[in-house]
Amino acid sequence: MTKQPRRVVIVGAGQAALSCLTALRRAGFDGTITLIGNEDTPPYERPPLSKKVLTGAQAGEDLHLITTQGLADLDIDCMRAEVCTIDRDAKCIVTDDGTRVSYDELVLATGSRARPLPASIPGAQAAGVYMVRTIADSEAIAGHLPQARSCVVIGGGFIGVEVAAALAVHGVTITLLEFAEHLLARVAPAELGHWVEDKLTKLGVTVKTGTSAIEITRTQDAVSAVRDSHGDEHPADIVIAGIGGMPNSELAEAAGLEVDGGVVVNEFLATSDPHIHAIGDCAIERQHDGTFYRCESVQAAQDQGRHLGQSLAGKISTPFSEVPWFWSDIGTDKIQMAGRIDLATTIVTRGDVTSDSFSLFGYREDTFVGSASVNRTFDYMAARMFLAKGHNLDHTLAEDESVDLRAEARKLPKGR
Amino acid sequence: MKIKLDQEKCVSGGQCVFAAPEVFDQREEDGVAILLMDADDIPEDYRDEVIEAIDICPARAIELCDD
Repeated sequence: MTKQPRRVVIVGAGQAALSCLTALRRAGFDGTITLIGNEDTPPYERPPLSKKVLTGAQAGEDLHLITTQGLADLDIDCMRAEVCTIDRDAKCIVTDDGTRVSYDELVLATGSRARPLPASIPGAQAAGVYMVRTIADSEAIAGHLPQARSCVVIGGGFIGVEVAAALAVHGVTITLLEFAEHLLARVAPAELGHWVEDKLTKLGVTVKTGTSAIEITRTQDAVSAVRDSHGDEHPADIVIAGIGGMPNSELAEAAGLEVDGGVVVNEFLATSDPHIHAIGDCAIERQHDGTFYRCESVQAAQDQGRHLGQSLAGKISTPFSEVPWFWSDIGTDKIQMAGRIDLATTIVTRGDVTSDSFSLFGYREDTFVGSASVNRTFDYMAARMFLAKGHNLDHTLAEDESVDLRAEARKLPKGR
Repeated sequence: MKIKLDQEKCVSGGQCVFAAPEVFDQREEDGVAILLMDADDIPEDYRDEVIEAIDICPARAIELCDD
């Protein structure tokens, strides 16, 4: 029996941190928990930042996942500070004002930040160029919106397409620039990228794939247009860049922990120091086959946080293995993904991919690895159940619309 | 036990259905969570499952209303 820790320090105060501290207390951990965040808010949910908050339809404070009182009720010591150093020998962290906080177990939940536009793009740092990462970012865009008639969105990943859809519905003229040949190229099959492009076009967005921004032009101190690599100019009163996220792994790296595209963790979410753990966007997991997987999603933040909280409290001792899942709202349409469709070599379709209701099932050799659904929650739930229960979903079943997939999935015994 | 489900907050992830399939289901058209029983009168037998559903809901759309 390992000795139970008495002092847990969590650096970062987002969804992963909240999930971890909730699980610790729920599992009966009665030692001290110190939560150190660098924003002036309790933990909040970020998904709405690229949706309703952008247009002012939802207030930032509605996103708080817990109140200050709620944290006090859980007996959490909250600090607002930047953590500058981890002193691994002394097992303590040092904040920007020199405060030292000792830990038995340290949890890094430092998240990720939006990748800035390369400084080589003229105008990249001009006023009127935004990124979407925090409540402050989205509220700044919402505040600028009444004066904006046109907007260029740089990047056609989930952030870019959600932003484009949200603002188009709001009546702003939008141009979206994506470097790859189709939207969502890094994470989803071409079929889904094409559906999103068609949907955005119907909402009035001008979608340009296979091109990138090379200059942001300004008149006086305001942005006026974005020039793309084809030489075309697109008018822009505001520019929003959604070109990916970068893990906040500098603190770990400076402490000598293994970092490789994120803070490297094993299947128990431990870093190369057994008393330091990493969860959520900042963590990258070394898989059984030696590959690395960093999953930037609410699901990973939440499931890893919960798993680690239960582990530190001594309630479980199993490795982390949850099926990834993800959602995106494109205007009023919902995309839901399960598993790792990014690993698929073959895609099977269920329903008509030109309609607003279909699913894609991804296979690697003959093994079902993940799905993506448009407005088909039950297909998504079925896919999650097949993956979670460890059963292969035969492709003839997947593509047969006369089969009630969710009912089939519910009948499955738990495998593995 | 009494709970409150906020369908406006719900993001259709289906977490509650995984945790407590006897208590929660989803609307087929948009995946929004629905209750299969009276929110004011959930049998105590389901307490552990409902607590798990509350904890794993990514939008914290479910609230326990009693102690």
